[in-house]
Amino acid sequence: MAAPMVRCGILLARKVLLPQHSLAGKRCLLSAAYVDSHKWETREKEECHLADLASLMDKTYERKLPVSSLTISRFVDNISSREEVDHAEYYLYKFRHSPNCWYLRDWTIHTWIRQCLKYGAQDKALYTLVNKVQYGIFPDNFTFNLLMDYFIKTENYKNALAVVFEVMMQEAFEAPSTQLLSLYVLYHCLAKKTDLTWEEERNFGASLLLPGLKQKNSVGLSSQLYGYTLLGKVELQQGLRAVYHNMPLLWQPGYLDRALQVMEKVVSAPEDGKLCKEALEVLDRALKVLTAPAPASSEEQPQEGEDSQGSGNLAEQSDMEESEQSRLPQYLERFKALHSKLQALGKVESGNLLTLTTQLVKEQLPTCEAEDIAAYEQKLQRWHLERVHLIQREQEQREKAKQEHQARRGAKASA
Amino acid sequence: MARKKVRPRLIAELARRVRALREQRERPRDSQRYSLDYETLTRPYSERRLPARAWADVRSESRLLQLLGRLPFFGLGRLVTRKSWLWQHDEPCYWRLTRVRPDYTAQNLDHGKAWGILTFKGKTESEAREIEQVMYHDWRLVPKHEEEAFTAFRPVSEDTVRSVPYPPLLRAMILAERQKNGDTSTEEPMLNLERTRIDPWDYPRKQEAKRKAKGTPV
Repeated sequence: MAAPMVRCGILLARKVLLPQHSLAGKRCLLSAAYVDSHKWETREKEECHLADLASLMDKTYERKLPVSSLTISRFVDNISSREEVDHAEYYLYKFRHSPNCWYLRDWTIHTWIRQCLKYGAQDKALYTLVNKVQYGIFPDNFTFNLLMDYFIKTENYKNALAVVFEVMMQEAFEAPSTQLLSLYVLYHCLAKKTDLTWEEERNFGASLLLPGLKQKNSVGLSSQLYGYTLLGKVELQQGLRAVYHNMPLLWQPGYLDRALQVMEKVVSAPEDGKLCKEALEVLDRALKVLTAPAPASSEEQPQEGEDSQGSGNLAEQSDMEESEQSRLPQYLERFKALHSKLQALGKVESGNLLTLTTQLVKEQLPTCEAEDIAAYEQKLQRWHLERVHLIQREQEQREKAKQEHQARRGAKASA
Repeated sequence: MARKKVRPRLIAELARRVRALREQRERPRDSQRYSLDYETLTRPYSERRLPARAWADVRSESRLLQLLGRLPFFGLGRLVTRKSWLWQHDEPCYWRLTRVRPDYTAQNLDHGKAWGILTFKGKTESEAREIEQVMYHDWRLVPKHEEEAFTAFRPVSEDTVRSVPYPPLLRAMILAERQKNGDTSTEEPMLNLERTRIDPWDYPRKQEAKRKAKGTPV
């Protein structure tokens, strides 16, 4: 009787030990120095009681007066448990719907994401990020990197993908570290999933395009090609408006044309940029899929034209789609010619996109990280100075208000 | 005829002030005035239907603050265009945002006011002013990676003749007039051909001037 219990105990103990080993062996993209929260923990913050701040904010909102950004930043600074994360979320929502919504500070947003990750509320962080219109959470690239790395470490690629889509919506692909991390996440997810809905294709296309435009190497060029292909596919199947509505993309038609222009640029460029075989195959498949069911799609289009209100707007759109459809055979020919030229010049990279990206990440990430960490330290200093300035201004205003109040009381007493 | 002395009506004055304060406090916000029912395309506040030419645009495009609510700092420094300008003019026409004041009573922060610097058909103004027709469903955001290509504009040089000599009879008459008045200047009288600049029909007008022209309520 005792032996099985002991065995269970040993198994349980082993199970408890295993997670530690598995985390240590997991793929960590960002180095420990980057993710280290020591500098952030040791920053100077004001010790305030959360209940006092909460009651102050409630009173201010009742009197319909604006709440200062210092109050909300103090609240988020002093979070110390999971429930307080929920309270802070409520107050962030209220601040966003108050007259001072523009003034939500960068350090408040950074602190909010850090606190969520510290207290295990990463889903909450993601939820506030996705509903950024309601909460006003617009992190900078360092915070985005932290959040993405956390999700990559915990193998939660679905959430990491959601973060990448948010970066794309905000067009925040400035830092090379963000670009590399997001390309890694995107190719990882694309390798797993094959059939995507048109919204996912559009999001993937845009998120591959924007960092691809910044990276000047074969991974960047292949990402541009892949992105343009997916967007061109959505354009021809769902219409141009479906591509650019609520997305940071241009409203000019011809995304497949731009994909072919990328190929032409690589062919004619003297540098060493290569295009991946995988991306070229995707373009080939997309063109074939779009040219194959030609009678079916042309039957659908006149039907759509009748259903619509027959206004000039939609007639123009169907004109554009029909012109794109008619150019598809030309695109196919151009693609075949360019493909053979690329192969002749030896500019076709036969490696897998994911392996290439991982290699690039390993090579370039340390240098980018060092730059980012230096920039972050400078930012911390700047935030500290701004905070001190704001606190000073608040104190001056309070003293002035007190003096005015006393003067008024004195005048009333004497009168 | 001396008028009888009017005693000051203090309560009426107080009532007037209270009424003004209440009007200020309960004024309809942008989100109420410009809210729209997308099924019947009527504005619930004024019970009016939108003009027929706007129906297609209302369904497919978005208001300016709807686009800006999704951007950090409400899209300061970004470029925004209007679809009607894109369809009407070839040259780049856009606003570069300098200040945004969203209406905080709106649920999705998609109403409000914005200020910016206008570039219409390639010519940039020098000062920021309030953006007109912010509540129209007509706005598009220019993506950051397309900004350069969008704003590239090569101005076509106008080679119009500025001024031209007068016909001979008129010239003789002007010179005779000059002689009669004792004016001994010998410069050639020139006829000015510069046209008064007429803006295109969709050039944004000044919002401040529009508001002042309403007049004081009695």
